[in-house]
Amino acid sequence: MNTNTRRALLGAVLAVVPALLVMKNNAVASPAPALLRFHLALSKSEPAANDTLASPKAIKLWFTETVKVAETGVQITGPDKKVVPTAAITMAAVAKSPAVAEIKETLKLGAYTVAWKTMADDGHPTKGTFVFTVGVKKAAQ
Amino acid sequence: MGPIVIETVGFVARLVAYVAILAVLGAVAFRLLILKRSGLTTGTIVRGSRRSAAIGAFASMTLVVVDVVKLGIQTSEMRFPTDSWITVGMKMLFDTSWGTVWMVQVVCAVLLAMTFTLARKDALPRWNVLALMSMGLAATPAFASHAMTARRFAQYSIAADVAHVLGASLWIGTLLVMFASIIGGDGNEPQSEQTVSVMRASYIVSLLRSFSPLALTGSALVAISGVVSSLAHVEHWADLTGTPYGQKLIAKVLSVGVVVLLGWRNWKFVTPAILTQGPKRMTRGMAVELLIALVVLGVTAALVVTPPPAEMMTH
Repeated sequence: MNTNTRRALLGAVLAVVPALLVMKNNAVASPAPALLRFHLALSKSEPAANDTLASPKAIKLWFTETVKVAETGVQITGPDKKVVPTAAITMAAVAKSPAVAEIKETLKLGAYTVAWKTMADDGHPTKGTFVFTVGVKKAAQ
Repeated sequence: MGPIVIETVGFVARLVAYVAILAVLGAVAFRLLILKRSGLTTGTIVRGSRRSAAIGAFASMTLVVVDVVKLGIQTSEMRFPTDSWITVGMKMLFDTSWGTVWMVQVVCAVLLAMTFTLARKDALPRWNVLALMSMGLAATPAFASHAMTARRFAQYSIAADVAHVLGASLWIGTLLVMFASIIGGDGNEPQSEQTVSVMRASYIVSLLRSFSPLALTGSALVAISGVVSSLAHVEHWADLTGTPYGQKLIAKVLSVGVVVLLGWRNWKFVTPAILTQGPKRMTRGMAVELLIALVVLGVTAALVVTPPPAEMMTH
């Protein structure tokens, strides 16, 4: 192997090794990666996660940044794994308004999963799920 | 599709898109800023010009294909299992700002492909039109990037991203097209009595006279715009080593540094000896430079989907 080839290989190693180390770090995961989120995230919802309540009339989602109706989606799945029909998402033209999806039927008792998706201005999709239960809240003892 | 498959396909799509954009702009820069000023024979310029146009057309069409893949991935990410692909895809295209940027990029790429095909006849006004259209293409990645959500230096972020793409194209994009022209034998005069090696060496020397200052300008633009973008997204020194974004940024800077070093080495030690020692050392050096530039683009493709520390929240 001549000197130039050795130098070229050294250069390639110097370039590739940092990249591989970075990627390995990410594969192993930085501290508590589950806690790190994009700037756009769900800040509050109604019903709240793990809430127990009577059949809600709508799902309301508040995000950390303003989102657009066209870039936001909600789907509710019932205890029978069927999708609950909802109206198209609406949002009032007021700052910090929630995205609202009205529920078209009265929900039966059981656990419901809300899956939401939205998109930031940089085009990155953000999504999540939470669960609420339709039932009678147990009185605090 | 599982999340890992989507991530991998997305990464490859972004990487190929970056290579394509650099190749498109590099083809225009090679024709207008290198060949035009090279003092080479008309025949050589025509051959080099045709190859640039072919590369530009191929890269433009590749960008269209990759953009269709990206639309598929974005639709997949935004769709629920019971949603129609077509309905969500149309919504992505026509109801979102992401879709607007996508359409602008695809229209630019299609028009560029058509104009490159016409430019194979080497009509100079077509290359000037291509220059304008390719500047438009260079701006599109910035409008679907972290620059749109930068909280610091927001007013400079998009301009810095555009300058970054232009700088990388002037430097690496032009190097790519120049390398293809050299290896493709555009410098070989059919009636010449000189050997292929001698003709290739002379061709390289003529091209490097214009390329070296262009590469310097491009790399300086990359460095300056890169610093502005980094300041927009990284607030504290600790974020550089302590966050995935910072670590990838360091990897990118180190990789770019290697490309700069290789380029300097080629200019300082290999260029003066081309005519006496032959072109092989230079072409090999260029190939290695391009390979490491590909690593840089790969790190970039990973960087753009990593949350910048200045915008991260902890829950």
